[in-house]
Amino acid sequence: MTSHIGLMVLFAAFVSTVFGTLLRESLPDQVRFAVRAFLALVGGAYLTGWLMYLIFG
Amino acid sequence: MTPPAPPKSAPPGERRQVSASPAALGGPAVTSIAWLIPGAAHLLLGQTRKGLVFFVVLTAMFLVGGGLGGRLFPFQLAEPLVFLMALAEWGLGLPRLLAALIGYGQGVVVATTYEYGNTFFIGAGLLNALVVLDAYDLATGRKAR
Repeated sequence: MTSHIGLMVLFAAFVSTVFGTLLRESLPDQVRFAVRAFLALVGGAYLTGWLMYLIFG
Repeated sequence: MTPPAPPKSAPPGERRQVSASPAALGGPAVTSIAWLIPGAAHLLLGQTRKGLVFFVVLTAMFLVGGGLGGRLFPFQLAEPLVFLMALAEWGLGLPRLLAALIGYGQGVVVATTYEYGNTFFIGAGLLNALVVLDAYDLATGRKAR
């Protein structure tokens, strides 16, 4: 896979899984936290990308 | 004089957690194990699910990093950023050691995904550093199990 967004999504999935597992104790809490972290990472990167495009593009 | 009471068995339906006691596995030992094999310390401390997740995810990140052509950097004090990247990559003990022995992670600088590979290597090492700290807290009783 060489897609920038694909690799970013994969990285975000790995990181949010570890954070969810590390920072919460029960499985539902871990899943909830991991999903929120994943969305924040991907959404943040997407927004930052657009901002950079609008400012410097 | 009354004889000592026999140990109580767990009530039906209750799972008994078999794990090493914090006293048996001291902080330095747990830290070393956690650093060497991602998730191993959590497994030893009875946190099976956490241990398995850490092992699978961090090992996968390391392998993906190599698959993307990332480089496992040597320690170079002359280049501070390279030094810090090497330090982060050594956060994953045994995989990094094995990679050094078999020549894995030489880096394909011309690959489109070279920097992504580096990011996966560095991310895996840094995440394992957090896992090591968590294992230490569990083993020393600073965090409830």
